[in-house]
Amino acid sequence: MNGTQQLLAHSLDANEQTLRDYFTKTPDLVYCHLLIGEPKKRALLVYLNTLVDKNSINNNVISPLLFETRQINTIADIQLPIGAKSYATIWEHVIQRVFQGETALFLDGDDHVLLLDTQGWPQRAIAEPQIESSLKGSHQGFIETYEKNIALIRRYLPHQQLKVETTTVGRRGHTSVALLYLEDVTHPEVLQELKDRIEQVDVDTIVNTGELMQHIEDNPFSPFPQFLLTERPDAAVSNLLQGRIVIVVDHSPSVMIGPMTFITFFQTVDDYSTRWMIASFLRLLRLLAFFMAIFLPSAYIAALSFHYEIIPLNLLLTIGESRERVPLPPLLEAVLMELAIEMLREAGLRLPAPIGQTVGIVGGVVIGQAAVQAGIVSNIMVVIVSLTAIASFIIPNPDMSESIRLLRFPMMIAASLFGLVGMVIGFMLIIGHLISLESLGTPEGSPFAPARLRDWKDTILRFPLWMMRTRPLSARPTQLTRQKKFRK
Amino acid sequence: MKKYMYVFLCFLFTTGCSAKTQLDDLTLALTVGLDTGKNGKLLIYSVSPVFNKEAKNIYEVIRTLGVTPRDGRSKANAFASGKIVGGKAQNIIVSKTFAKTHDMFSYLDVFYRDPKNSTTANFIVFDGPLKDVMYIRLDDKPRLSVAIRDVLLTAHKSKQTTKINLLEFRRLSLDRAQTPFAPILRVHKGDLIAGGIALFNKQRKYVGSLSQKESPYFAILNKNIKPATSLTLAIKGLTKQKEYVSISIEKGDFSYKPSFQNGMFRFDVHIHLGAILTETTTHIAMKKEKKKLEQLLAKEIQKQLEAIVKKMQTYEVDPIGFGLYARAYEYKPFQKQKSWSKAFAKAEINIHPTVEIISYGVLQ
Amino acid sequence: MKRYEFNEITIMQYIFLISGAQIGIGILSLPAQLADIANTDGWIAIIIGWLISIIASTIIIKTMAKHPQDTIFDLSRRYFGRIFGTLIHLAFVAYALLASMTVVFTAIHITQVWILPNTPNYLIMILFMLPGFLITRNGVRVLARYAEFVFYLTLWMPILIAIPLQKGTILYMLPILKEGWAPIFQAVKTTVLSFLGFELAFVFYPFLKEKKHAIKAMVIANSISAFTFLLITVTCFIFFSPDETPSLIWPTLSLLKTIEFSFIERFEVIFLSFYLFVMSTTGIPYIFTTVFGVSQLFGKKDHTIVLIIAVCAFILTSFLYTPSFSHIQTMGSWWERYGLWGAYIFPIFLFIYVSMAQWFQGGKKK
Repeated sequence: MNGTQQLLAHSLDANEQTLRDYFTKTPDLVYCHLLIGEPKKRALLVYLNTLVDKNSINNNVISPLLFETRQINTIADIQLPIGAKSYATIWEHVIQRVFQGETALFLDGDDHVLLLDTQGWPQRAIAEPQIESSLKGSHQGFIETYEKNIALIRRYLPHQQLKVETTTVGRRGHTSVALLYLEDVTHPEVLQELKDRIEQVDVDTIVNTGELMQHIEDNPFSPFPQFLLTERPDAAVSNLLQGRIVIVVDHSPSVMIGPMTFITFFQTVDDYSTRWMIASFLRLLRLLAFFMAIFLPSAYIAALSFHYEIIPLNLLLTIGESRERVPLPPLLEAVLMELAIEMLREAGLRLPAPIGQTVGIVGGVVIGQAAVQAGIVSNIMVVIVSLTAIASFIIPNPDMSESIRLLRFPMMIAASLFGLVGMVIGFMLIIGHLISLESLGTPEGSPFAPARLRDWKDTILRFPLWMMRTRPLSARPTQLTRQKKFRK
Repeated sequence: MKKYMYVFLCFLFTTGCSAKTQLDDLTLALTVGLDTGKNGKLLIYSVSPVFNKEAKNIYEVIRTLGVTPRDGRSKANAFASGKIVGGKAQNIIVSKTFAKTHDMFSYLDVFYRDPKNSTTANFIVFDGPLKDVMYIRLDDKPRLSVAIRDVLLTAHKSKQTTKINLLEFRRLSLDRAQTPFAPILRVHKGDLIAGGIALFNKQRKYVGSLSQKESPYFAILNKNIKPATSLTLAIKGLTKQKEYVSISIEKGDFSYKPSFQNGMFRFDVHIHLGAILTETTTHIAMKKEKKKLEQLLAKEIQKQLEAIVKKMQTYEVDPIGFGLYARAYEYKPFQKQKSWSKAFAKAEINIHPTVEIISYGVLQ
Repeated sequence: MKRYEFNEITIMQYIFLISGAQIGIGILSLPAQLADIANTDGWIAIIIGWLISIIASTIIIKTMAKHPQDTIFDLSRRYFGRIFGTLIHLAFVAYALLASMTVVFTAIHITQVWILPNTPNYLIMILFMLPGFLITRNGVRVLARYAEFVFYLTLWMPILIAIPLQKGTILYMLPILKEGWAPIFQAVKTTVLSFLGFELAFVFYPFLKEKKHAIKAMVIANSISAFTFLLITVTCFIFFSPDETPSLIWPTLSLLKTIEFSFIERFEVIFLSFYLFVMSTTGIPYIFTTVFGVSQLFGKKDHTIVLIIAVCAFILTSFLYTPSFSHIQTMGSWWERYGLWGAYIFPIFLFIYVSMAQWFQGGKKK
């Protein structure tokens, strides 16, 4: 059909013909002819069988129409027990709405069409989030319908300052994207920047939030995530309150949050419901895990390849004994084991649970035990690789965890070439990269570089909640005060 | 950006890099021994661990004849199973005869000059030819180097000898106001024994030694009391016959007062020791006789300390560091002395120890 | 008119940038140099040097404050005309180049001696240039953030240096003023030069956001450096016997060699590797100054091209030329001689000149 901007015709037959021309090979499109009102007037209901709630159509549309006794002149005369309805005169709107599961009601002799919200498609019930399981927070996770997701967020923030702006992305998919923010907190520049970037996206469709994220992030060459993806509404709300923007994408159970800083990827919303000492300990643990996950295997390689002196004698003798039969240089040994672990992880991820357990057994027993006994790798290497793996699992954000796992490999190579110097240079590069990285135009290295001492209350340590009276400056909030000093 | 790093690293990876000192290819010289060999040459021993289940010994001893330690190492590399490195050296042992005739610094230079070498290795004087210790078979002990280190540490803790690492040895040697010292190790009936202290003069040559019995007193003078210094003293005068009393010194207050009069240094040393009575061979009514016992002990300790100082003065060595006090408080006359050792030998040293028994166990 | 608005840096960043530039390679050998001249009284010279450097940096700030949007490059053009201005511009660029060369080659030399004895010069140079390029390319803002981050990252290092302090003998320090004041004043020349780095205020001042705190910032930066110098020097003096310190080239590292923990030994290897961070905050500002100066000379806003050329030149140099230790020492002494003029004498002269010029102009206009 050329030119979907075309207006509808007055004649029902013409309209039906247009529809039939457009929707070829669409067996699930239902044309339902009706005679309504006194005197009878021809009408046509059109909907996609697969995307509508049939009960709703039968009870709320067809049934009242059949028993209509008044005279129907124009489409505006039709009264139906459905709240969300709209009128359209352009074919483009009609077609788009029909594809979204609405029902179009055509009336003979009227060039307006009534669009009824009868959407009903297969959807998942709200369930506990799979990737970010929650210990203390809510057990509701986002689902694939964005209205529901917005609803989940609104439940936490029934406040007029919570604004929702929707737009669509994608030429084919017309994926709905909603920006949620607190108008009196979020910096307008940041918001505008985000809007501009989303507007520029010109793709077929956005299947998942992760795709949109890659289209709008600041530095696509960075190994680090610049937006947070979460499937927990409480996490989204917590970030909203810090002055960040939540981006909800239809069809995707994870929402995107920005602008983020590096350290926020090491925090979870559960931290705020735990008492501050424990939360601080966990934060320190995660930071330690970050360093372990990046540097532990490379430190081992560096020590063995260059700086045997730094290992205390007793440990050195143990290492020497355990490496006695190993024919591989430390780098290869480490890469071999790291790759094995990565493969195991990836294998376990995609397999159904019963088989997944087999992978664990194969990995743990066969590769761990047997490789050592066969003399391919040393005991200590197995210990180090396992520690590294555990450390990388501690990091709460899966994206960050993946980046760190990836960075480990160049680090290991650097360590095997230049020892500790290589590692330090690698670290310098990471830092140099991090401090120049930005998320939506706000520095990702904040609050460390540039330093914002006020924000340190919620970084490495988590100060008691009553001390967190201001929102983090790194999100550039326009309203800084978050709570009054109400506790002495 | 990261991608540049990858590119560069790939480049470097392909060019290769020969800088590695991989642990597997190394022979770690954990103990290095220096002794006089034939024709005035240097006999160098190096003891290194062997990581091989098939090998009978868990350590190998390499003996070479050379002019200097580095020369010996180069020769040893010809038949060692890996490149010999000294980065983890634990002990540097020299034989007494070698130490008597050679300036130690000429032979230790390599350990200081090469930053890869360890400067925390223990410096030890061995009483006897080095082959006695190098080829000793210790069936009940682990690797030789570890055994030597552990024996030394234990003996040092119980003040039977002292401990000094290469860096401290250098520090003492280079200071005008002090002379270095070292622990003595010997082999007795197939056992390693660490006891006694070797004294070196300003030329870093061995001049004499303190016996194992004198070692605790040396530790006291050196203010090195912790964790506890145990003494067994023979005391007459409490009862009529000779009695033995053991004390464990827990704390001490020291004051070294230097002064310069009539071209002579004078030191007034006040030592206040807090001790725990651990053993007596006779009954002492502690309530009544505590004061008397304290005085007797002090007297005995004074006798021993004075004997040591006398000995050091005859050897013209100052391992205690009296010179430090002289320099700090009597700088002008100190600077005028050509040799502190000579001045120290002439100095008048008065030692006044006092003992306080702070506890005497669970018996009255 | 704000020329460098996008690149504004905070007062903290400014402080760490300056003190980062001050604390670098000099500190590794400073105790030995001081002990050589003034024995264990050398630490007094540090305090005197600290006061002098504060005075000098105050003069620099006072001069720069007259034209808060100008770097030294703009200033020299403004007051000395095209030819003389360009000459001063070139001299400053040459100074920064010499400084960066010295820092980089010394860093390479120390790395080779202590950590990677068999790795060729050019490989280490390439390695060092990677972060150097990454950080310099992004301009003052990232440079300042880097200096700031490194400061926090290296806070543990002075604490570590203090560990040998408890094994030391304080008696080595006594008596104070053992040879009178004469050797101390001789040593002041050395300490004054170890404070070099504050002259970068000539370049970084216009980027500072809160300019009214500039003098305070300079005092704090100098004090941070002075404290570090003092800590390390005193630790070395207490740890090594007085006659031993001058016999070491890098006493600070020899000192660290003895630090042992139950899980790690030979701390100097780790310390020195990490110390590359500290050296980078010395080298990178100088490299930046060089590159920035050259691109200003050609009137270019973006310094990336000059930077690429500079980095390539550095790497090429290291391919062709492996400086021996004595060459590096010569380079260092050139820097110091140049620095004495550039950082202490030139600012006084400039201050007087600029004040006079303004006074005359002011007389005409107002």
